Amino acid sequence: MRFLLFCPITRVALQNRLGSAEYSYRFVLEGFRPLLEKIGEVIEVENPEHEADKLHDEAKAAGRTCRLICFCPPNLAPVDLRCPTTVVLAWEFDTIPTEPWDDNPKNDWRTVLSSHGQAITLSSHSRRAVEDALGDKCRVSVIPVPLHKSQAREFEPTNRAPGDEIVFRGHMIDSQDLLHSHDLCLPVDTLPIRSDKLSADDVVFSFSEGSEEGACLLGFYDPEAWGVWSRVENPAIILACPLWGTVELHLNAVAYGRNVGREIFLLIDGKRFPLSLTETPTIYKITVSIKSPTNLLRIGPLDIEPLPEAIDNRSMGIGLVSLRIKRIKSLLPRLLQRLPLIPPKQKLDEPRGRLHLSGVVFTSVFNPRDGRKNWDDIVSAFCYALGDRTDATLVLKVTHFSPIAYCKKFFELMAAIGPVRARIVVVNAFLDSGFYRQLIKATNWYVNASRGEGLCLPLMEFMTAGVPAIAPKHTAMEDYIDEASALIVRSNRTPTRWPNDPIKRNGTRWHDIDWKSLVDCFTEAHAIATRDTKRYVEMGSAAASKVASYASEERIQPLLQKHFQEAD
Amino acid sequence: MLNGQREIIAYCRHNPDTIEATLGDPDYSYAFVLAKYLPLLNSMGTTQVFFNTHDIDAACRRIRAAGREPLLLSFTPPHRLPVKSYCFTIPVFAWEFDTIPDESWNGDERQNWSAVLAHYPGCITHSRFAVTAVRRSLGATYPICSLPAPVWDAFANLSLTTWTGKPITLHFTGTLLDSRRLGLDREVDYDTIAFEFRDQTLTLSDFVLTMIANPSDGRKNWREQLQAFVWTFRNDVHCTLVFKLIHHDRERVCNEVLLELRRLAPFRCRIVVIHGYLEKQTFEDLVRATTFVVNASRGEGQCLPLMEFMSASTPAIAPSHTAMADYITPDNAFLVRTSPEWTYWPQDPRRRLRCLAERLDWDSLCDAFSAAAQTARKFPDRYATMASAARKTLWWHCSQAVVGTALNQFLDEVNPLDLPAKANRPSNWRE
Repeated sequence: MRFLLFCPITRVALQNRLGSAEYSYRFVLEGFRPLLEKIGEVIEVENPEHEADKLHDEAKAAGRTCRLICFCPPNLAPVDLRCPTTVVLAWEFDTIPTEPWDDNPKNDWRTVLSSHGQAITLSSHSRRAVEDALGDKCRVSVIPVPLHKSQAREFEPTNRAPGDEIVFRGHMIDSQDLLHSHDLCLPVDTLPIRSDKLSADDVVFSFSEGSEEGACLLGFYDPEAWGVWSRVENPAIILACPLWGTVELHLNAVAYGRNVGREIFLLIDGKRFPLSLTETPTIYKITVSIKSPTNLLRIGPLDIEPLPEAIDNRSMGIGLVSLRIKRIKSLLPRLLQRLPLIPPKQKLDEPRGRLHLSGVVFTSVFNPRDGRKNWDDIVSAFCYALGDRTDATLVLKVTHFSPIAYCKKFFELMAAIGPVRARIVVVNAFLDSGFYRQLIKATNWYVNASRGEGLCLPLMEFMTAGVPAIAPKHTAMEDYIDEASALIVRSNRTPTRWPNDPIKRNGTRWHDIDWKSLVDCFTEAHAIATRDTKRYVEMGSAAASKVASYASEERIQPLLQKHFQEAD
Repeated sequence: MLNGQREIIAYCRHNPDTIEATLGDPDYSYAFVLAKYLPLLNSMGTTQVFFNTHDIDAACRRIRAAGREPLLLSFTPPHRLPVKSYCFTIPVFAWEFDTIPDESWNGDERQNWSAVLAHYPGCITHSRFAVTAVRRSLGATYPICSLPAPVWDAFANLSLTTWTGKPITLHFTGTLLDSRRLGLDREVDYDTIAFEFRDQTLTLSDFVLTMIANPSDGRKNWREQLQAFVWTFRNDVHCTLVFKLIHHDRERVCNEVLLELRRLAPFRCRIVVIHGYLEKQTFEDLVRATTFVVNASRGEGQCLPLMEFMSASTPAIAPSHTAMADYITPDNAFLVRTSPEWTYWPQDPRRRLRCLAERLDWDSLCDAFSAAAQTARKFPDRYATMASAARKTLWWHCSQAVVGTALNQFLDEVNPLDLPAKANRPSNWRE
């Protein structure tokens, strides 16, 4: 049998755009690949519309069957091919899109799925959503991503040894290296951020709504169409690229209320530059010589007392429209002149992180831009429950190509929470299986507080290695989360929109987490890990055997074969 | 002191008569609370009302010159108390979080409510929940009294004709959005919709839910309420949700609500949105047409509309938390489930997580809607029992008789002779 595998996220794209939309389908494809290779011949195709039928006809001529397996939402899968096609669908909402948005009939998933006549979903929850819309027009098999046996054998719950140092390639933010001021929380050191986009000698950062990629604004209100209002007395900007050498800053800014004409300062690299802003947006030019690379700019002190007669009683001080940064090439030696605005890349490209974990370790793995993951609840509930304990650590293993994606939320959360004695580390490790295995080994509890899951592969990977979970029992997690292996977080349904709906209708539902129940789970989990070894070990074994029996290759292989046989 | 002898000065930053211009902005509801208190205050003595601080001391001197001792009731949050007044002052404020600010920010010492309130002989709030929050900070013996706005008397008589489901026609001047006339299912250019301000006629019948809220008040969960209504009654043409908007900016809030309606379409149940002042008769008609009054807030200082409808024998769909815990019970309401979440005091620009608010369980709101519809339609006796329980509970909660007695008793307990010591307020308090 020949399998043609298609995923819109290619391997190369995954490296560069880790954490972007639909990236997780790539992990699903890679998860299925070894098993499919056992059953038949596997060929990955990038353009199924053009490649699939040719490869299919070729196989057929040789007397073999051929099937195209699409790891993507149905609207991205081809229809009307000669090659039989199966969609593998991960879906966390309780209904599927049934409207041909943008005049594309494939956006009504029923069109695609009924044309294929069958599909694979990763969970019973997704199967219900498909069946509710299609009845018997589409035969659905629930087949989770198979997990390798070796993982389950390698880590027994009792073998865990927290305390080992884990070395990894990537960046890390540690709550122990944060400076809390009265209105902000900032990293002690320059954040090791790189951005290929910003290696030019002339860069403009816009602060308007929708352009949050370039800079992390701390102590501001939500961006508006024109720019952004400050919220606190000394707001800060962390740029996506460190500045060094002589640069010209063109700051387009406006003052509000009593800040009009008042002397305020721009702080960069330990130097203060006085500014006096007017009440209309104006560009202010400042030339700075920066000795040690920095990406932190601060502005203040602002008068943030709301005007007594103002209807808008927010604590606005200044508004920022944009910031342009130009590198000055003047009296520098020729060699230096050729240096880009950004310091040499290799310094930042090969960061070595060292993570030393102790106490009870809670881990969650997610894409910080994925709105389902609800990680602010994880951080706040952890700090509320265990913030006073020095023997509790929360590891947030994030996967995203740009740290700007999570810096803002993390620093603002930590400012809101204030200093805690427990430890929170955000680890942005590049795809690194060695690190991942060590992290699983050092973890006591895996934490999930999602609004919905198509599967949640990391949760299953940790569980299969004997790590018990804190998780809600909804969407895909219904299939493998139970009281024996997890502390269950309460949740309830709430309306939302399909992620691909241009009209943004409240046409489907996902889940709200009961925050207090998440707090209680953290408290209980810590108590179990420190005081009830027997129960902890039991939960770990239950987790391993539950997931092993649900997603072992032995179970999945016949399911796949049966599905394809019935389809052929 | 005996009834009818007090010299009361009431202060509020917003004038209830000119409130329309600022309706929906922070603190506007203090003006409503003052208006609801006035009949009671008038019955207790001479009451003068001021909307700026300049005239308070002059009034105070005149009263003292006549040999009487004035009492200033300041309907303001503690950080907006008139600091320069040397009257004997009792702050009257609403609060819906489990802690009060006990630290200051932005160099403004008055943001520290705990420190501010310690300089007053006592204060009045509107719920037992708020009393607990204040005492958590100021000690179990701090003189604070929970006195809801006395709204029962004005609404109780309406209950002689409670909801029947028969058509009732409302007339008002303002803006009316009716989901049946908006063509939500069609491709309509909504940018051209004018939110006309004109004489309107609205006929309500069958099962009617009513919610009254300021859409820019983030606590209200109004979107979730509209969503729950549509998800529960999508194809039931006999169900109506009335959403009465409180906000001065008609264009803005009508647009916001319209956008939400479009996102909920298609549906056959009916949503009507009212923006505009309802005369007394019209408001009473709305109460009579309403089967259940709805609230799904994250927290309430007291919730006047809910109290008014319930006083008029309208049972509720609401959570029993914060101030609502004082009067929402399974006897008079279908309870909505919520659970605590960490949040910040709304006036704190630093947004430090310092208190708890209640996160809505949306599923339970849908369940409550279904149960309410079933009760109203199939179990009229049970509905009537809930209606009369609402009226009774609210008598105990907010009738003039009950609130008046408690207010007099409280004012007698807080000693005016404490004034010189308490009036010695820190000089760094900003006016």
